Amino acid sequence: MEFIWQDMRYGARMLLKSPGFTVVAVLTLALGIGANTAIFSVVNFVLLRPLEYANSDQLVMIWERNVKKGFTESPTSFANFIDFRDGAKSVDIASFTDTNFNLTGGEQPERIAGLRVSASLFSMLGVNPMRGRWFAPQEDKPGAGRVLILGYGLWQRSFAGNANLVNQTVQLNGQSYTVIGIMPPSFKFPPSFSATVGALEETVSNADLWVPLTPDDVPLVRDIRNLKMIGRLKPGVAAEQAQVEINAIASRLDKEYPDVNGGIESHVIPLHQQVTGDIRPALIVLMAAVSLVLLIACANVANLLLAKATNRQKEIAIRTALGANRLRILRQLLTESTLLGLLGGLLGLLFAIVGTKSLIAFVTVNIPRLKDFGFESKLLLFTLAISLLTSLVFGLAPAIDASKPNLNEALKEGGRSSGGGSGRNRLRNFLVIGEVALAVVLVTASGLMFRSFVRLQRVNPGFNPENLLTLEIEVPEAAYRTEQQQRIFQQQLLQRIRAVPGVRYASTADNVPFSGNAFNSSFMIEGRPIPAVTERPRAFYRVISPDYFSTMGIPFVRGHQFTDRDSADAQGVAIINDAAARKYWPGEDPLGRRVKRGRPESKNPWLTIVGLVGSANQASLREETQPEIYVPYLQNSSRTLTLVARTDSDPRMLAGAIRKEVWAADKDLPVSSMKLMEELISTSVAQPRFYLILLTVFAGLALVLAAIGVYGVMSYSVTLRTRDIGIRMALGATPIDIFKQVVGQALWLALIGLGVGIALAILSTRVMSSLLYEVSTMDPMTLASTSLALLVVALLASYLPARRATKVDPIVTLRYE
Amino acid sequence: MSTPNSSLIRLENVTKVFYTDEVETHALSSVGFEIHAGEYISIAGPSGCGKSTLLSILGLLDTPTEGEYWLNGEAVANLRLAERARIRNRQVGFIFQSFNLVGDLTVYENVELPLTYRGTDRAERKQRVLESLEKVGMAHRAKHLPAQLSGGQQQRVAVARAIAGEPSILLADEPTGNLDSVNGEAVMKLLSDLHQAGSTICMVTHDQRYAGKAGKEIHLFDGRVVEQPHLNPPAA
Repeated sequence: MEFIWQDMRYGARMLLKSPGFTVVAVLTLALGIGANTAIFSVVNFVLLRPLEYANSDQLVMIWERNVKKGFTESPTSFANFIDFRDGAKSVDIASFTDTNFNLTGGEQPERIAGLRVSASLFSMLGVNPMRGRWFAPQEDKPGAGRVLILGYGLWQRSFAGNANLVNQTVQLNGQSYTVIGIMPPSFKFPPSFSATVGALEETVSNADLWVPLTPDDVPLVRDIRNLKMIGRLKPGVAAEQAQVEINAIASRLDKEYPDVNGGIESHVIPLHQQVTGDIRPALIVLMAAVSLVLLIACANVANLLLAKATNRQKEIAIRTALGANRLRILRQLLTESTLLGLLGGLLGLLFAIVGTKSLIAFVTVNIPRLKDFGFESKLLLFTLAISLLTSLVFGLAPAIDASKPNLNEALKEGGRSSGGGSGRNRLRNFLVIGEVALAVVLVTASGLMFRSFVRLQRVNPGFNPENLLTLEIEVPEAAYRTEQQQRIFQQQLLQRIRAVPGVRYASTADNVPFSGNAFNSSFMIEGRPIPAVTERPRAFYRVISPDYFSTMGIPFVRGHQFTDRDSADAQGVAIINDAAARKYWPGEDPLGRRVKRGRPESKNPWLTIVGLVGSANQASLREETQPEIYVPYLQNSSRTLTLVARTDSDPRMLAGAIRKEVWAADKDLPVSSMKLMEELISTSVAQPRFYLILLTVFAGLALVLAAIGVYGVMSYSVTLRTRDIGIRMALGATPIDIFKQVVGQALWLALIGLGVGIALAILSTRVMSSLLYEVSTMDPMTLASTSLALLVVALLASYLPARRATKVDPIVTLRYE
Repeated sequence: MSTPNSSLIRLENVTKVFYTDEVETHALSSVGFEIHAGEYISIAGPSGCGKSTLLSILGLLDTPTEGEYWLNGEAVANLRLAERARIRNRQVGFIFQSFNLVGDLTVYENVELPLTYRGTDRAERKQRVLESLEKVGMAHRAKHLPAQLSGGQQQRVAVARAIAGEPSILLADEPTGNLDSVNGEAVMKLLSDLHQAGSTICMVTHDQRYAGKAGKEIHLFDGRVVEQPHLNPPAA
């Protein structure tokens, strides 16, 4: 123990003796450790931490799956849910569906994200309400009284944390509901996650209030699939076992109801995996990226230590001559590197805390669970562990090398630096080659993300998103009971908005692209045989007002647009997009054909296709355009409206005026979501942008560290070779010859590193292929740019040492004789 | 001012002053002499008399503070660095006391080095390197590294490197200083042989035995030439 203390004291003295070395080494390590700690804190919080429900590892999501239709995670119908729930013995199943509510009675009407849930859901999650109680089992039966449970945020926001709210009534959608419970602040349900429903990615978000799911609200049928199922595995049951049982039920439902359940299977996935699944590959890529940064930092510090060891040869030789064995020397050197590592770790922890806080503040992207981010004590342990591991990684090789000095040479030379021998030089070169190779991997990864992002940005969404304002409105049933009332309101609203100076076009749709509200449904084509349910044509439906295409900037191909003559008592009409025409009328003219929404026996009217428009992306720039059917709002009502206004200049300037007109039309209307279309599209690419920024930061860090590495080695090499350079100059080498020699050596090391790095990059970037859009991981442009960048960095990093080499005075270097 | 065609090197009033802080050190004061092609000259004198400084100026490693220096009829006292390097490479061959071979290069590569800087093509380089190594009896060690050779062998390689470029003059700075007497004698014989074969040699030594082997001796004392037999005054 005394020896360790002695080693530490001596180590600290050595570090203080070379403040320049210590500062550079500690900073380098702090950057590497800090980046790792920061990303680990996110990975830990998002991926490794259990969900905030009791025994959350037992919770699973249960989806229907229809491989034939390409649905991997499809919701189920109410009737199917009851069969799954009653048939499953290995898992308790509850279900939920999202619904928006208009909450009135407060200062301003508010539109609230709510959820209809099975009464058993809360007991399944095992989280007690902060006040009041859970739903009672009978409260999801038909005819049960209207009750609700509030989220903490909504309770605070809209009810000022009223302590007496439980058992009081509030107005939702114009109806009275009794508040029976208030959940604690930490409670979030559903947890945010993404599911691939059909061709579209659907995002499930936290709700603010919960009401029971009853057959009064959701039809008890099999062909409307809007319920998501969550289950709790019975103790000792694995998800795979539950999957087998649920599959058996799905198979029975397939046989019993082939017209609506034909081809269905099931998919049971742990809830934790469901929540984190989407982000997992990205976080793994980022964790790998920062690990590479740390490795590069280690290589740099190892190089510094090797250089330092050369200067300490005599000291170590004296210690050895005085009887210190190799282990003792090794321990002394490792103690010093551990001190460096711990100092780096301490500073790195500070970097990580500041960096992660800034990162989270900067993140607008929907990363699951990150909203509630907080540091955990586990982080300290991680930093300590990684600091010690790092110390070993960068300290071991130099320590082993330095602990075997050539006593005779070291003592004989009277302490004159001999350059450390070719073995040490080889190790230094090897480290620099490694650094460059790792930097190549990171720069390539960042370059691929950049190329992918640029391609994504260049995708034409099928409409013009500039100067386009959108705002969502829910027309309350209580105030506008008839469709006629709704239409009149809609017409008045549009007249008001169009009259706002600066508004060029205004129209409404039940939803707009990139709002996350698009849904598709099946339809029938007149004159064609009726296909099985699973084979029926599907399209996204959009109820629009006239001028919608002009407002959105969607090109009208041919036919005619909707007018006010397309009223409720006129012939039913529809406009389709070219994706629908290509898919369902290939080689035919769809104009004049008739379609009917829903099932064959549906009473919906036949709609004549009167126009053809261009296709627009629905939720993501990455997706292929999907078939769409537009119908006029005078023939179809929708309580959920999105008002779209195209303005002459920045729409933000008109936001206030537009909001005023909405409230002038109806003072009780909540205007919950007012957004620019460009923001909606920007949000859809927020994740790739976020990864791009992080990867670019790490790649930049790697490049800087690699540059420092190349600089360090070349600088040291010039110092060691001063005499050689003097000799060469005496033999007639010009300054240019010497410059070329030094830069050439750096470029040679960089070229080897580049070769190794490109091979590594090609192998390793495959893991990020799912994050890329239309860019191969072997993209030649990226690889060429990376190579160029690395060579330029090596060139710049060797410039100063090379210049210094040209200033060597041969007389001085040769005069020692 | 003109220079006689027969003088390979001509120094006139060469002075070298070193300035350190506030101290002026006169390393050379008004040194002047000539060396003709084919001569073998030794520069002798006690330690600190300015021998090495004089050799540095002769080898274009340094420039005089004052005075003129003609090499092969060309005024070279105030040339730019790169130009001095070019002339040094073509006209001067250095032999150092401590051999100064580049440790990472083989014997062959060391001898090849000045020819590489000159831009000589590969075939000619090879021919000249092998010829030079043959002359000093080191051809059989062409692939060895300097560290694998004895001191005497290293100095022979250094001589081969100095003559490979067929320079106008060989400048030898205490060429036997790091050698035992046997190897010292061998190197001196090598220089004599080269002189016999037509090389011009200027050797700095403080060893009177070897200084006497040269055809002409220049003695330096406190930076001045104190004895200068056979020196022709420069033509006006």
